[in-house]
Amino acid sequence: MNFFKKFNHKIMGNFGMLSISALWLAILSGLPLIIFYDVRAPYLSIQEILIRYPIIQLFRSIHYWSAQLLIIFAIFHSVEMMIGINAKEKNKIIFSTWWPAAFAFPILLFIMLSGYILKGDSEGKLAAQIFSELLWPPVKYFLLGNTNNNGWQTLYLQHASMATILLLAAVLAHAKRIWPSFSDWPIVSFLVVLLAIFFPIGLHSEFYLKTQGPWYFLPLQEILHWQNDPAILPYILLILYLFFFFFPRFSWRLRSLLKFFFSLFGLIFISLIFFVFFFRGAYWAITIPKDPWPNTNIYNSIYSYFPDKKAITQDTPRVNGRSEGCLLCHQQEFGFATSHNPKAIGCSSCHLGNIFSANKTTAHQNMILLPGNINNIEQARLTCGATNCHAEIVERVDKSLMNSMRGVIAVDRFAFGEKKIPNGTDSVKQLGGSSADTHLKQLCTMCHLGNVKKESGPINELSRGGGCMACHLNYDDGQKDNKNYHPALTLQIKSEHCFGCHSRSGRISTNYQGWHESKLTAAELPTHSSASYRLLADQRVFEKKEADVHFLAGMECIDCHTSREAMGDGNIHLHQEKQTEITCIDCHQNGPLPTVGWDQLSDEDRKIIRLRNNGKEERPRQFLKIGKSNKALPFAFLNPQGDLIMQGKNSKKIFRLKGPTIQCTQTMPGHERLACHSCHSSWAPQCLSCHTQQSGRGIWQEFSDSFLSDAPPLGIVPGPNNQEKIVPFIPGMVMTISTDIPKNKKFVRLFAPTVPHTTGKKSRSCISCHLSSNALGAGRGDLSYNSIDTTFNFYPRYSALSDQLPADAWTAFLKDGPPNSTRIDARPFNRKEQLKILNVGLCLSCHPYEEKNIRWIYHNFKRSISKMSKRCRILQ
Amino acid sequence: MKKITAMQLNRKNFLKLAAWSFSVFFFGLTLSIPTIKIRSRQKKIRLLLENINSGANLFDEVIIVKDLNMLRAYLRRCTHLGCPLNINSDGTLICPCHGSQFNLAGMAVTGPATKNLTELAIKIDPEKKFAEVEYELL
Repeated sequence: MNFFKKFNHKIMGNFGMLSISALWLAILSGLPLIIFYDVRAPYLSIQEILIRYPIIQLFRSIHYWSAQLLIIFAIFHSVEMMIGINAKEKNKIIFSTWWPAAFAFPILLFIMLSGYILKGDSEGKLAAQIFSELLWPPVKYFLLGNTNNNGWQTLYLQHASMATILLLAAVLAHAKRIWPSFSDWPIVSFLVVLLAIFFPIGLHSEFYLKTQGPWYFLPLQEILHWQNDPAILPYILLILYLFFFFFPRFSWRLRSLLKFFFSLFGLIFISLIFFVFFFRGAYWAITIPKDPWPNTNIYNSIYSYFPDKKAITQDTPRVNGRSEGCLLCHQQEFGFATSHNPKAIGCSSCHLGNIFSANKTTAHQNMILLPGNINNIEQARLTCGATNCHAEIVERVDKSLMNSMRGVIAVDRFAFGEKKIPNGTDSVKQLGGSSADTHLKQLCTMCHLGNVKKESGPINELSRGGGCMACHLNYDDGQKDNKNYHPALTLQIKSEHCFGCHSRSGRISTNYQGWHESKLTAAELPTHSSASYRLLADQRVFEKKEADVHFLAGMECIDCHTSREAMGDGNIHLHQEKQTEITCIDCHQNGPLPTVGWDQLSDEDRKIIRLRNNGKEERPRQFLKIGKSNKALPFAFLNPQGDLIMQGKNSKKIFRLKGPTIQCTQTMPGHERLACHSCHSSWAPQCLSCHTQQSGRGIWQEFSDSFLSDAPPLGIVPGPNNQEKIVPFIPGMVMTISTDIPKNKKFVRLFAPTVPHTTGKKSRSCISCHLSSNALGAGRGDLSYNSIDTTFNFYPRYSALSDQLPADAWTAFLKDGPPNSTRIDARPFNRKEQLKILNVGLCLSCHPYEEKNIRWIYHNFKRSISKMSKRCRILQ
Repeated sequence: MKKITAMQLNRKNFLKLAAWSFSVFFFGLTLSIPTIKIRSRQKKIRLLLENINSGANLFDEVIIVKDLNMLRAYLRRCTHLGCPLNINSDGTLICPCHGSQFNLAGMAVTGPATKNLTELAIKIDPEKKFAEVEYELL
């Protein structure tokens, strides 16, 4: 009890004397800083203190904490005086004692705020700007001087000399003494040194967008946020201050009223401090703090007092005008691409951490070991998406289809009956706990760009996502085991980067290279014909098929696909075919070719060309314009002879881009709606059902099912200008869905439009469409013509499923079927269209198109039908 | 008021003298402000047109907006309290101090700022290689 009594006596009612102790501690601890502080380069000079001079940093922390305690003690002292808890004063406030203290308050605030500004970091600069705008111009010039020419020289002198002398004079006039009491001094010193040791004061890093101001000005900042005309604020503060200044002069009644008012004001003040500190984020937006101490960059840990010895013996490397403490230890790293070399951008631009510390533990605080993950967009905005780096691209990627999985989510929810249409804008971050979302979360969502890369190492067949690294991370195989090797972030995006995700679902990566998934297991892999089989890292066995002609020519994914397709163009597209801008016809067209000059290229295209050409520009070049987006394909251009060529982005190989043949350009009547890939896709992987099943309530598992790899069925999608387009389709979702409610168990059969990436030089044959039940969407089987009753007989190969259609079918043979598609307005051929197709097939069976002398039949089919002989038959 | 002499300079008289001196000093400072303003720094930036990207570009104290090959320049100062603006995630301009937002036409969209940005004149050299913006720092 005695201890508490002593404590009460020492502290309560003694705040005035404690303030004097704190004041002297602040003055004395400021002295060593004079030597190290540079008014012309304040930010750099404090960085040097933080990195190289731990003793000076201790003084700096003591300087800071004693000032904080000084203002807190001073506020407590004025409160105790006003409410009369100080027994010695017996509630009598004498004006001649009061006013010097009241006079000291703005001086004290000025000292505190100028100290904050003198840090020279971005917080300090913003505080200086706001402070100078609010001041009456003569006062502004008196306190700040000409900052354009002299830096913080005037402010520093006013802070260290004028204001300090005035404050001491005010203390003397107020307390009739200037020296601290012998018994208070050790208490305050102990408290301050303890705070300084355990909470060394840091410096605001440019990477943190959150800038608020010193804690005692946060309420003012909040008011300024709401105040359109801030010029009125200094007058309001002046009136409040005058009430405070003349407080003892007022009548007892008015003083009681003012006490109430000041108490209320104080309560609001404290609430606002907490509100702003915790709930105001970057750009003053309201945020819910994830971290209980959101401004961790304010304070360092005790470790910062023990820098690595390199910091003492070496000069701190400077990058972009800031001291980069990381480079004291990390100078041996190599392997970087030029643009991301730490000598140019430092380590912290990508990895964050605390650059103003040469102690390993402190320097690695808040560090991001694997930057570039875009799952957390706030973090991505601090690293790759920082204002001076790739800010615009990170925002685009965030909205892009590969990151959001918007199309997959909408189709899955539609299949599960949770959505009425297969379109939606929800992204993978908005998945909930519904049956569809559970299905997606368990089986599909690994394959999105935002999927976090958690381990270092190259992108391989098992990689899924990884943000920017998914495409741009490259390892030098010869060096990757060297401990000083750092992988490069480059534009050398190889097809292997895409393979991990795109070898699944539509399997375009494997299709492109001519591999088709088999039902063999790794153990069954035939050893005698290894060239015909390929074992992927995920143990799936693929068998050799016909590869895409573009692959055989040596083209990689990024030779056709642009940055706007891979990273998004900033718009929200609902499905992949909307985000894709390149089409076959862009490269394969006969003149006159749409081209653009260097000046019409987008900034991004120009930058890509410069980076890939070692800075060289291609001014005289005419670049091919993509029809859909009206933007350039930067590596497809006219050569000096006027021919269209493409240069491989990685290989630098030149590809001659040929126009389509006469069969394609002089379209045969009835084929106007055909997309190039309807005929030129030599095969497409097709499955009899989705390889996913529910193995328990809410648990989904993948299993192996039949894979087919023949020419795909065709169907209709809405095209541009309200015209329909015929494109290949493959089974999208064919499965029985049992949701949480058993009676809702249902079978779905949805086909999806596809670009199989199995382009062949030769198109598929006429009868592969006109006499094929599978091309019509009716599934595989025996199709025969009965000439007696002029009908077709179709015997499906696969037995019917619960919707009475064969397992591989999309629609019923020669019937109008439901759309059953993963896209709005996409549909299979209807009965009339199927009849038309088969009628041509009937003719082809006797008059093959290959016989040149009878081709005219098909070029004028209507007329031919009207003149056909009695032996000829068509269906009605 | 008593005649002040060196012998009589007690606490009260000193404070009076100090108050008067300060008033005279500030009066003088007020009168000299126009001269200080004249001495404010005239600055000029010269930029390669190639380095100006579509949308907003930040160059120290100047913002250059490129929209369909049209260039506009603004002083990079929020019209609320003068803080330097940044580029927001949607490509528009935002103030780090109190969250005021401006569109690329320089108009105040979200408060507390209500005034539009100060537009600066851009000169482009005849060879169309450089853009030059002159501005004044008070």
